Amino acid sequence: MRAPFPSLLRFSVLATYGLKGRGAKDEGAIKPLLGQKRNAATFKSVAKTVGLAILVVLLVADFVVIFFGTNWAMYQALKPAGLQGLLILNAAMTASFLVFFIGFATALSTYCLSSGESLLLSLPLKPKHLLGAKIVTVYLSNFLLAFLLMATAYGVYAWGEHPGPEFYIYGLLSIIALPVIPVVLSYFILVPLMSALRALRNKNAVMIVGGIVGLAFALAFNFAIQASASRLEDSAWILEHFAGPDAFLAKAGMAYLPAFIAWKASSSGLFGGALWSLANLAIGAVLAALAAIVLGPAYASSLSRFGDVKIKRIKASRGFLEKKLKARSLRFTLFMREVRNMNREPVYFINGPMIVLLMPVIVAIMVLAQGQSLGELKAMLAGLGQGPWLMLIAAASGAFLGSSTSITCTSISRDAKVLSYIKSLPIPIGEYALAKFLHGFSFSAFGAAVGVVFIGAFAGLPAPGWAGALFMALAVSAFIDVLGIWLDTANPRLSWDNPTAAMKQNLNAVIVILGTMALLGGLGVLAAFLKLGVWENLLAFGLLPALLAAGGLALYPRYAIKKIASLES
Amino acid sequence: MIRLEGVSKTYAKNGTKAVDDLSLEVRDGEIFGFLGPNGAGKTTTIKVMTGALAADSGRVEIDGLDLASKNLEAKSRFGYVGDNPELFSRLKAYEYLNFIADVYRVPDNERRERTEALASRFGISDVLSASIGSFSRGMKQKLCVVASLINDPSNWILDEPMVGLDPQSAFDLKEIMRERSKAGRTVFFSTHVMEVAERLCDRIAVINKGGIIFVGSLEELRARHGGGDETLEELFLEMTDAEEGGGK
Repeated sequence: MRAPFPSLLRFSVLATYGLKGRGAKDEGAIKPLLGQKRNAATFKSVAKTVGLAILVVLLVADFVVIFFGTNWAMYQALKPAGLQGLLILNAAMTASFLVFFIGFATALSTYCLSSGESLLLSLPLKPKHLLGAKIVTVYLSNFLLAFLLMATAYGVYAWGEHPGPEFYIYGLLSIIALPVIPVVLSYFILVPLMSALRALRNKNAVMIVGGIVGLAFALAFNFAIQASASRLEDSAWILEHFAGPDAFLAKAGMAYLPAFIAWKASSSGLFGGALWSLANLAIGAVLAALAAIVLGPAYASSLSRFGDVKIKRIKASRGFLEKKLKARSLRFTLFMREVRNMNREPVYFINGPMIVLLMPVIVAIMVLAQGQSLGELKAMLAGLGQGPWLMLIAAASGAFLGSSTSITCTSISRDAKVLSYIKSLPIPIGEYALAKFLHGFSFSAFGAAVGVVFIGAFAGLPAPGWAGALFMALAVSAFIDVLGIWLDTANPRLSWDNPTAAMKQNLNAVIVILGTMALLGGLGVLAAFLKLGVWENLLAFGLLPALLAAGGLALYPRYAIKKIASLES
Repeated sequence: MIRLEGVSKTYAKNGTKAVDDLSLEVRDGEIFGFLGPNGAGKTTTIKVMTGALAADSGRVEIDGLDLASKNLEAKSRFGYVGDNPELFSRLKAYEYLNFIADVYRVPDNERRERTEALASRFGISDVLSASIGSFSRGMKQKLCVVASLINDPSNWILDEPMVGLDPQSAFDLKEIMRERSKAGRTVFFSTHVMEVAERLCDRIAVINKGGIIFVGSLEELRARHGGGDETLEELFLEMTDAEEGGGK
């Protein structure tokens, strides 16, 4: 018999990260062999795993490159002054800071995963175990983040200084200890908030607050990375801002004890390092235990009240019914259902239509943070205005933004819970599918216009160029939308527990986003290679994708009718 | 009238044969109960009957219209209440009803009159402007029932309709079933509640392991089992136990 806490922790980890337990594996092993179908499923799951692994490697490599570049530049700047040890202090501070934001967002979004979680309260589990399991679960993902960041700094330091083996051991212990405190701190903020504010205790509020926190963090992180990237070659600036007596790092490092201890652990020899490392581990363990014991009852209580909703009760008068219940065309009613379902589901809205507005803000931050002269950039783009290049750049911007909403490539997946019911209604599946395309394309058109205006207005694109760029952006966006809806019809994600999985964690969305980048990159190379005139460009990058999109759309309903009929949702 | 002929369905995902060569006829004006233990194939049969699932073989007719070839016309002839009322949670109740009325092309005045009457009967008039996501399971179930009748269909197909309903709403639902039957319309529903089937149904079918093991009235069932005064529950257990190989 297993003690309750390990079982609870296992459940929490599996549920939070969507992992399959050992039982699931056993179940798979005893399933009857289904010949080719099983082989196809195995191939699909292997392909999916490999694809995801590649994505994870790319993502991790991206961050490693950023962190390595930053740390290497710092090391080069600090080494001549003999202050290269500050690299570890900087990494410890940065990791603690990042983990606090990411940990807070993770703790918030996993506070109550589903109604199934509140059923745990009916089991004979102690509140401290419930919260303890949650803290450890959130800690695990944040440990990986801290490891990624700090191991890069330790690696750079070790590369240059060749320290003894104890450096690596104490480094690992520091990486284990440091994320605990920011995660625990997140719960010291969250649990009282959730207990006091009823408005926060529902899925939508969590999604909105989490989205805002995540967005603010992403923009700030982006700004910081872009801003520091432009300063990394300036050794004097690094010395002044990181090693000076009034530097923020020195002050914060001295004030934040765990980071200071991590720094001391890396530079206090075999015995001293061991003591500092153990001190950091002890602080983390004591605070985590304290949080579980002190906050556990309040956490359990807030969990039991999570999702309480107050229904708006207004007697429907005759006038209300006359105003609201009016016949509309089937196409319009299907289109409006799509719009409402998307715009009212925070996770769909944030990852769909909102992207169109968010992307230009991110690009603007990148440009501003780089500290480049906007005038220079404008002059450079304006210099392209004589030929078709500026028009092509504006078109690429529009096409990228227009095809970035992931609406069509998740459209069938998002309906997984109601697909069976939809199929029982007298709705022509062709109309249903067309409404989905029109919904996605309406946001693509908006995105394409925003993208073209963004570049066109900034760089002073001549009037005819605006029309040409918009035409190309719309054509390429439509083509990608058509590909997206074909893909999601052929391989929809029909089994999911929360809307995030239907859209944000949908492999089809990842394929389309990466595919769009590859396609636009390929078209850019092609344009540079062909060096076509304005009209030839319009034909090649406007009319051709428009015709392909029209052809794909014309063939789509017939396929959708057949495929959707065969889906077993 | 609903007719199923030789319907079979095997799930591609796991190879389970849920319905095996099933034939059934539900006549106009009758209340027909569809009974069976868990996993017997009730919901699969209903999903095939409504077009939510494609049958591997066999034929489904609604009012004489073939569901495969005259898909939309056939679907317009029934209202359906599924086993899971988790529908369109982001829509408001009135938006959902208007959507369904648009799909069935119900004229403005009829959709208003039926919404007003049915919503009032099921006690959901005051929540029509609320989001479906904020509803309890019972309220969602009531909304589904109202939506299924908004086109006044000639056939009413319900999968476990009593689940989640309060006693008053369950009573109202049974009353509506009787009213519709008297008006010559067909009511087909699945249930686990034997007392409901015993009191309400003109005829019943019992399904087990994907095949029909009995179709007829309660009297016919009793006659087949020796003509005693056993309850439907006792007869049902007797039949399904026998199928399992002699019972406990």
